[in-house]
Amino acid sequence: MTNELTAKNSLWHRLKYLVLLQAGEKFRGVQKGQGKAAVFKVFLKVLAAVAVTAVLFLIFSLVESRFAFTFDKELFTTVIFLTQIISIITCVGSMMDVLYNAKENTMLLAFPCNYNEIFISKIIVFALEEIRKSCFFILPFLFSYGLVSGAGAAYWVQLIPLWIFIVLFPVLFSAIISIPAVFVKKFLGNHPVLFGVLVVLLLGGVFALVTYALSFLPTPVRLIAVYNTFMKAFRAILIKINKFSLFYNCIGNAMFGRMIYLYLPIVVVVFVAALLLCFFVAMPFYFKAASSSAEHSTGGHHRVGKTHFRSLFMTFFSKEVKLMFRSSSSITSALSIILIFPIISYVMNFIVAAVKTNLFGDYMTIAFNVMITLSLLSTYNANCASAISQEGSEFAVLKAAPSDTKLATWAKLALTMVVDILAVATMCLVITFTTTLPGKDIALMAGIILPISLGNILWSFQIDLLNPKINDYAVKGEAVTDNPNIAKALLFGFLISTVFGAVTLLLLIDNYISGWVRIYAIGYAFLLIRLYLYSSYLKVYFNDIQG
Amino acid sequence: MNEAILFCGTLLFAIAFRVIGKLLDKKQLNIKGKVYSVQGVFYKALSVALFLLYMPQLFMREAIADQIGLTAVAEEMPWYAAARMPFSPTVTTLLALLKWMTNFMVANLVMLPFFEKKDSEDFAAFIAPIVVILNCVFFPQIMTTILYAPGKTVSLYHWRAVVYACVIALSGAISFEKLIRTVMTRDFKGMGKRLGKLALYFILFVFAFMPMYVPQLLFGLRGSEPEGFTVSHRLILYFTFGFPLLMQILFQKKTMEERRYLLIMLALSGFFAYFSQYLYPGKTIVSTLPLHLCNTAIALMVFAYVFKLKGIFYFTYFVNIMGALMATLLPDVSGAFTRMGNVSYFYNHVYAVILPFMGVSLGVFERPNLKLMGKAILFFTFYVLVAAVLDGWLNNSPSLNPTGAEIDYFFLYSDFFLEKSIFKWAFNLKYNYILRLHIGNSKIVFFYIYDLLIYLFSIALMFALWGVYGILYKVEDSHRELARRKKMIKVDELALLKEMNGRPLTEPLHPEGEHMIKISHFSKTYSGSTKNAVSDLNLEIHEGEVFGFIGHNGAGKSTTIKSLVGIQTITEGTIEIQGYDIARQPLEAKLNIGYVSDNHAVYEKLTGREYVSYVADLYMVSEKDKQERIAYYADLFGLTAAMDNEIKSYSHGMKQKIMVISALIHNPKVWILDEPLTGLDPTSSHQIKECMRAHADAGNIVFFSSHVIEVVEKICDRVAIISGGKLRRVCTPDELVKEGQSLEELYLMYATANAAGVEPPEAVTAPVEEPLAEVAADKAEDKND
Repeated sequence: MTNELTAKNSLWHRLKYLVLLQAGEKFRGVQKGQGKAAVFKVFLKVLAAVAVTAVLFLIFSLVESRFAFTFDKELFTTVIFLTQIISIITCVGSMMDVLYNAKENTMLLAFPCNYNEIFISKIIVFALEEIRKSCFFILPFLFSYGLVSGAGAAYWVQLIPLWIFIVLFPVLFSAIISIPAVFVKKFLGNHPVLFGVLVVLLLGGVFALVTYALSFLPTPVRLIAVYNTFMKAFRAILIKINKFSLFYNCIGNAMFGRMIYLYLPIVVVVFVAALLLCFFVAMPFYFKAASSSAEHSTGGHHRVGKTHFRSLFMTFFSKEVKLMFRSSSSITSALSIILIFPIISYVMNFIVAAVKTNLFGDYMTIAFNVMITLSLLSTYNANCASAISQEGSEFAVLKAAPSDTKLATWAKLALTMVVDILAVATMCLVITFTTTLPGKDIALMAGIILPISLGNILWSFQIDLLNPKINDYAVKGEAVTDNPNIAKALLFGFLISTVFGAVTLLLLIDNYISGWVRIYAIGYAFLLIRLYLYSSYLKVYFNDIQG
Repeated sequence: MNEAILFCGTLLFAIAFRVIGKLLDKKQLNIKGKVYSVQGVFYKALSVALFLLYMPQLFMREAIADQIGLTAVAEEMPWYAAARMPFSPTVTTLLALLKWMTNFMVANLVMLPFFEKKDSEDFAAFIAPIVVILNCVFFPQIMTTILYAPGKTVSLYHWRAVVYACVIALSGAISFEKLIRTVMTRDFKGMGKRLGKLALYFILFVFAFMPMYVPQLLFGLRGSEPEGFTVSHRLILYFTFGFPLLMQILFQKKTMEERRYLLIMLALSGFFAYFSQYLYPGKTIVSTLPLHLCNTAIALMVFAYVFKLKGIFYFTYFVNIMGALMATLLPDVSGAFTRMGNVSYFYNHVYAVILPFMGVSLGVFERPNLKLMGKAILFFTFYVLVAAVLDGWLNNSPSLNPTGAEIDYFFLYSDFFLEKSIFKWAFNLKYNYILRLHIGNSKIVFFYIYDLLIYLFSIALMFALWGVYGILYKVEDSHRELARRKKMIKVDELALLKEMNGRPLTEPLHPEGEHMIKISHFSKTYSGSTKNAVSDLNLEIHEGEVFGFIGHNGAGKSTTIKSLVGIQTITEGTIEIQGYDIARQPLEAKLNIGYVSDNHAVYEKLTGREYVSYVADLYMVSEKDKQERIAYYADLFGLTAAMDNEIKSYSHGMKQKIMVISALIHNPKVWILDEPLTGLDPTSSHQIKECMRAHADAGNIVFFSSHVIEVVEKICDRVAIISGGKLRRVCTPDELVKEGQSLEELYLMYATANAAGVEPPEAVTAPVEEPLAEVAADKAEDKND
């Protein structure tokens, strides 16, 4: 009896249930009687992973045969290193939400278990989720790269364990980084002016750095004439980057069979060190950061401003503006699209302008800008796929109100549109200064990007409207990191951007004047259709949303 | 002379058929218990005979197909001048149009006995006889268009002429019989409308039956090459994507038989088009068998539709569409748009795209499932095996393929794919793995790994296409549901207007309930659940009452409250607030409600003042009233100092108070609170209770749920107990005292019975009928005293 109690009260037992509790919520297990459907679902996912592998392999093969490109250890290391940097940055953001801002923390922290166990369980669940996601990119990449590079036995033997390591490194690092990050975030959240100055300084620094880097680019870039030189320079850059890639270089060496006896142990040691660092440095801070509350905080006092509006729309709009300016994540998201946007646009246009060699150069520039601008805007607009859901439990206020609360969605839409307009305006300024495109082309471009972007916003809203996740947001708040609606909206946004960029190029090449007419016709037809569908769906489905 | 004989023969045939038809009328055949009309079988047999007779005509090359332009002369086009018909351009045009109409007529007559379609019958009765007569009149010229060769006399006794004459005679017999029957039965009712429908029928199908040579004959070689997204190519693509959509719109309200008729007619026209182009003497027969993917589809589609062959249909639905769409998007053609080869190419491929697609979109075939996908794969496997064997055999057997033409069914033999840079990597796989089989003098060559790769790749594409179809189905379902719901909303609006009987919609639907909340037979079932959360709940609450609603967790309290305030839908029954139906007049009903939810649903980043102002705007409160009430309630609840702080800095009780202020900001007639006292300190709890009493005493209704039984007992005029989704008891605290029972005991009795899963005793499901408004008013009066 005592032994049984001891076993039930052991660390492993508690940890197991903590993980099962959170993972069950995240991965939604198989329902009774749905075994066949689940097997089919798994089969489709495996098929999707195989399809991604096949597509990557085809692309790599094409690049290899067409451009005489070598897929070797250097490129492998650089790609892994760069993707890991991006992965760490995105993981830090998600980790902060999952570890410290999740609404479920109030429940978990009250459980009869050690806070360290909650921390470990959260890390395990986060890692499992990352492993699941990596099945659709990292793993297919590793397989296809191995195939195209003709990798040896060492590569295939180490593939699975090193894949796990590659996925887990960003999780462990981001767990460590998220500790200071969450305090910095809180501090900056209470000092919005300082936050704004820092953002501007940071972006200014990035802009200066980028301009400096671009000054080394010889113009015009004649890719075909200087192909060999270019490839040599490219290889040199890869090697230089890999010098900074720390132990990722060791992963590359081990995978490609170079001194495995030395590099593989280094990778394992680094992994263990990261694990220990995570548990012994991050863990002690966890409870303090996770249990802090805003109650009785002194900040957040606002002067009485205008509180009465003639129209309901303005009531909603004013509320949205206030919420946006008081939420660091919303304002960061809006600022980044308005301020980072010109930098990306500047770099892209500089490169495109440098390689422009033929008669269709201007058309390429226009189409390219349309595609890039729409893609970047769609990353911001995709958040609209959670606009209604984000109301969470507050949605009850809208539902209980005796007015046309559908207007709330139009107010949200208008605010997103304002951000989009500002972003497109900055883009136009950048293009004016970095390209030789005539002013009328830039104006025409802006005139077509906005309706497509608005159509995209409407589509994102529609996705949320038809499948709202109000309960998820009511329970988890901002910690909802896996909203499938946003992923869907991102996919649609990317597809629309790509297709519209291609259509723009084709139509302009066909005939400049009629091309623009047709581009506008397609763009505004798209907007009108989306507008009609959204307003129809809103009219029919909004009242059915139940919190 | 020949023409007259043909015409008379045709008439005689018609009379004979009419007589036979009459004789067979009402006669029945009993085969294995199934009863068939003998007359119907006779007409169907005639149709099949007509189809079979017309086949050789389709399979054989026509001389007119070689003429390019009506005025082709040797100087301009020496290579085609030899094929020029010995007629004037006008006569040639008429003859070509007559051939076109004959195609259409034969298809119509073949289909006639199988479908009861008035426009098809009218075509047979009124148009087909004209086509037959013209065929009789121009019989020698028609034969010339088929058999003409420079310097040779066209014999009207050539076997093709005889077969063609039989076709005309049989067509004439069927159509004249139809005409005679129409005249004799005086079937001319609604002729204007029928002619209109006939015109639409004609327009819909006439283009489908155009002989492939017509464009080049009438217009010469014109139009841009239909490749590389030229104007003509784009037109074809617009048609390919637009036609199914148009048919979807036009046929969505038609019967299944009409949809089937459309698809079979189109499939038949595709069948005609394919065979009239590909099978004729002069080409090696083995190289033109309909085994090249889209050709297989075109040849089999008509049988799949006629005999409802699922395996074949889903094979075309998953495999052919893909190939045909690629061929339509990236065509492998040359020369002008009107060239017969190009017209034929697009006829085949466009049909191979739209026919299977429309089969499912029009509902003739069901949406595929795993079983049907399995059938498609099975048929595809069989097809690949046949193609691989024939490719490997015919390309290596000079006796069977004397011209040495490359046989490349499904691109398994040639380097079609390997020539594309994206597939170059497979070159070694093809030529390093060859299996050679020697059977007698024949040799069969298989590129087995390469063939297997193509097969597996195609299977993967089939699944990928299924995924795309899945998306399209979702879009279709979503639009259908949208249309259905829109219609329902319209119907509900009209019904409400009718019930209001000319009164403005802002007035209560039930004026007799203007001073109460009335819940009648309310039930709620959540989606995904089969169990009622609340069942058949009936309740009336009158002005001046504080009404307590108690029940165990999951009893249905919050569900009732959420439906009461319009947050959730109602599965059954009605809820009226001050005479307004919450489901049908939601805005008017909600204007009378103030609601305090159980979950502190407030925007934490707004200040208290901003939040209350926001809610006040939603309830259309004037600025003056709003400011006065905010000042009054903030002072009452001791929140004045915190009103301009963000709500996130508030304590639990402060948040609850801000919700109370926002619920009362429009001075509602009905105040509904869901567990308002949970987690509050005694002072806050007291303030809210006082507020509730005062609100009811002012002639309003206060309805609240709670678990704090003492409070309910103390401040409520009446109490309802709900358990397991059913209303168990409605009573006043005084009644319980008289019964010698406490509310707590009663509550525990119902809660325990529910936990044990047994029906509690003395279940009360009907509302207690008594002059409650008067009781409540008296009580309020006593308290005021």
